[in-house]
Amino acid sequence: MAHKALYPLGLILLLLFSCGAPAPESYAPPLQRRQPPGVEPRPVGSFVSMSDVDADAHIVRDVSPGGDGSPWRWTFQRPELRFWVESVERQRLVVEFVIAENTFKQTGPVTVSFSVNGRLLGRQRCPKPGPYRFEKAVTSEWLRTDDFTMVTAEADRHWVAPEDGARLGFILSRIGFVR
Amino acid sequence: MPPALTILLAAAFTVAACVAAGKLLLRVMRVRFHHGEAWLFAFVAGAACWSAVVFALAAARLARRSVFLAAGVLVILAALRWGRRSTQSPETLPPRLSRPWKVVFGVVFGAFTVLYFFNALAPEVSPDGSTYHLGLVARYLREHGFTRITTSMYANLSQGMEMLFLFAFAFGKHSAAALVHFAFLLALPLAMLAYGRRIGHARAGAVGALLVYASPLAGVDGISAYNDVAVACVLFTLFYLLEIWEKDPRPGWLAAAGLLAGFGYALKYTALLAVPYALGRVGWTLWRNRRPLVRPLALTGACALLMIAPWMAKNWIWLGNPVSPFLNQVFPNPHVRVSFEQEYARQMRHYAGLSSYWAVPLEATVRGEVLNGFLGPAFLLAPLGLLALRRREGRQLLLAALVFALTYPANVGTRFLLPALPFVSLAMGLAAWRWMAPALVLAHAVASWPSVSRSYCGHYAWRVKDIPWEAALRRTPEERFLAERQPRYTLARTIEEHVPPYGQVLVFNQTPNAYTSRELLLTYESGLGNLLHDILLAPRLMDEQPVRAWRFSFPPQAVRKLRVLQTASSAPGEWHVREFRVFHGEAELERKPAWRLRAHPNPWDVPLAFDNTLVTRWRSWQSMFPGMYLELSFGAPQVVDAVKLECTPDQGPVRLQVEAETAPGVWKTLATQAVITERRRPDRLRRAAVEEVKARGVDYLLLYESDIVAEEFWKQRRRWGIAELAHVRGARLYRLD
Repeated sequence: MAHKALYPLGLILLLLFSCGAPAPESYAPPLQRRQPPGVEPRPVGSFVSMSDVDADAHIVRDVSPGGDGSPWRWTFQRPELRFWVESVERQRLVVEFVIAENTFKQTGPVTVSFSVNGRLLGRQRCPKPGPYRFEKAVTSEWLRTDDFTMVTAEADRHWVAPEDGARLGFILSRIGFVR
Repeated sequence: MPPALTILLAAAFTVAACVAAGKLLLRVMRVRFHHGEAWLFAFVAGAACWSAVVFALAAARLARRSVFLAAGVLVILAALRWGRRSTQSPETLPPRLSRPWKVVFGVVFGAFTVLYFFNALAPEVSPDGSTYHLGLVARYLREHGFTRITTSMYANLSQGMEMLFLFAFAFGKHSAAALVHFAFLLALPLAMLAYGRRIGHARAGAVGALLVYASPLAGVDGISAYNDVAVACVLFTLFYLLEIWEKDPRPGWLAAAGLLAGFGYALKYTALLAVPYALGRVGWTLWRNRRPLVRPLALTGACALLMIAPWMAKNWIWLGNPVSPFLNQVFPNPHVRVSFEQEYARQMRHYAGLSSYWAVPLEATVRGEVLNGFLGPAFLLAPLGLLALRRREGRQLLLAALVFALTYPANVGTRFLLPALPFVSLAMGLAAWRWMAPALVLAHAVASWPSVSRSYCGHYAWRVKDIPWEAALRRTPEERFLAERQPRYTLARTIEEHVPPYGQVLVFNQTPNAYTSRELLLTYESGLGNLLHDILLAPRLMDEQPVRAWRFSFPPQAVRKLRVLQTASSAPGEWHVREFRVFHGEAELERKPAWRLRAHPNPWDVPLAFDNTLVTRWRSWQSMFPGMYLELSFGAPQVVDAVKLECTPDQGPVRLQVEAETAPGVWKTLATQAVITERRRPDRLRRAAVEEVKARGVDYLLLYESDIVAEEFWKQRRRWGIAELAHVRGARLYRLD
């Protein structure tokens, strides 16, 4: 009598261990994918970190070449970068940069001016070496969505290399437009 | 009708249906309770039955308001006709509480009831309640019942409580569901008090009841659309029933106990231990008294199975795994990956921020920040309960506490201590000296009151913070309250606004899907989510790592099947293949419809290694072991001389060899060494990835700023081919163009 009561239990266990999603014996090869048509869209966006893969695409001039993934790059005489903004409304220019201690010894306090499409947006005074962040709203009339927006950042004093006369400004980390 | 009243009526209707079902059930089982117990047992046992009824209606795709209304009215009328008085014996429970204890109990119980009631009535903002608990309930109601959901592992868990939520939700939406859970929070201390009286220790019952009821975690859980307090209540009621059965060994008690044990599983997998506990206790008692074992055990087990089987069957039929989302190695399926299960289990055992298990006592009782809630400092005195070992009742209580805490190491969140809490509390009540008991209760109540507990608990500890009268009575608009208390609520509404009906949104983080009708596909909740996550991360992975090709060359020969076998011993890390190509001479063989592809493990994803795109891949989705393979059958002999596997370096230390089937069942090794070359990834991979995601029916993407890929998608959106639709509260909603 007792063992008969175990039959349902055995049946349940048998059912349980026959579980498992039914896997087809095999599959035919799927539809073969093709490379998406067209060329790679412009990699320029509205904001860039110097460590980004596409950082070079944003640089117009006077920023040291990267390629090693470093998050910092030296700027030279009159650095200029380009951006593509999707909207002209409520944009703020944000620049994160560092005044290096070594260059500061020669230059003393530095003022960096920031311009958007050739118009002066503001200045950041840097009385001592260290990190700085410049952030200021940009009026919508200065921006456009059908072409690049150019940003220049110019230090009023530069460190001049004694060997070759190269002029170093500041160390750029991140720059671009945020909303 | 005022919204708050509608909600209250919806919850009351659900509770009434449960009580009515319970009255009828207990009448059929011919068991009688003392005055003061009958309603409690009717509610809890009836909840089990009513949950099963709603399950049946949902399975029959009859989850509609009108059907629920008819079913609820019918069961209440039936109970009024046949269930009244039949379950109540004329005896009352001895002894009553002394007058001072009545005052203490009344004041503490009353104060916390007011606190909890208004919180339960307020709009539902709990993390899990507003996401999957009620998200699934809302979906069942929209779709009039169960549909095959393979995209959320939470839909695979047993959902006995969600069935009661579904009934309440149909009439009163989210807060009605929370109020149903609150009914269990109310029932639990009353049952504990009744138990104390039945064993002749009313004071111990009162102490235990108030320790549980005032506990900050029991409170916040019980006022939310969760299930932990319901589990604690059901397990305690089961214990109580078995106590009664030991003195009155009629089979009706065992049937009810079996149903409750099974209902424990139906509420939450971790309560499965109720079944061996019930069977063990029944078996032990019968054996000790030299009475027949088989029939009572079979009755108890069969009744438990009645409650468990529907949930197992649902998972078995739809997912191939009766206990999904667990045991996926035993029941392999494509819906929950083995590697995910292992990682999930690891995270549940080791909460981020928990320095060591020695920190658990303080974290679970006082801080509450890392383990998501705290029981109250009084439970630091829980070892006091060991003094109850002197009494038989104490030993039974502590044994039950031990059994129901056995699953705690599998998930060390404080919530998972709740099933053991009533037993520990009663043991503390039994052990507490006469002078100590009121001091303990009052100190616990004061320390647990929100304005006091905030002074010692962690800032982010999950707890009831205030009494939201205005929101509960809907004098503050629901929208405003939800936007303030559940920061991601606004996102759910944004999705509702921008995504068309039936649109699917891929999300990387929990979002309150109880407040949107659009389907949110969370990347870690399913095999499909894991795959889409893998596809979207592929381009960035290949920005950082080269594509690596393993080329196996061998003398040209005609073969029917080729197999790449992984022979390295078991090791952490997976094996994957992005593309599997076959050559004869310099030319790659064109893939033909007659070819047949197989893989072990994870046979379901093998086409991804033969689809001619690097953004998808076949992955083992579990740690490497020898004997994994990918196999290609040509259908007829085919001359080949090389196999090339394209991979990325993010895999385990694989060792591969190529084999061929030369005659049916005869395999010959063709090559064991590969020439490995590396190349830069092709262009437009980001776009290719988006197209793969779209091909799987997902057209929208929601990214929080904290998501690891958020910055990449924002800055490279033109390359991905995605358009920002909204930027709300630190998250961006994109359309995949």
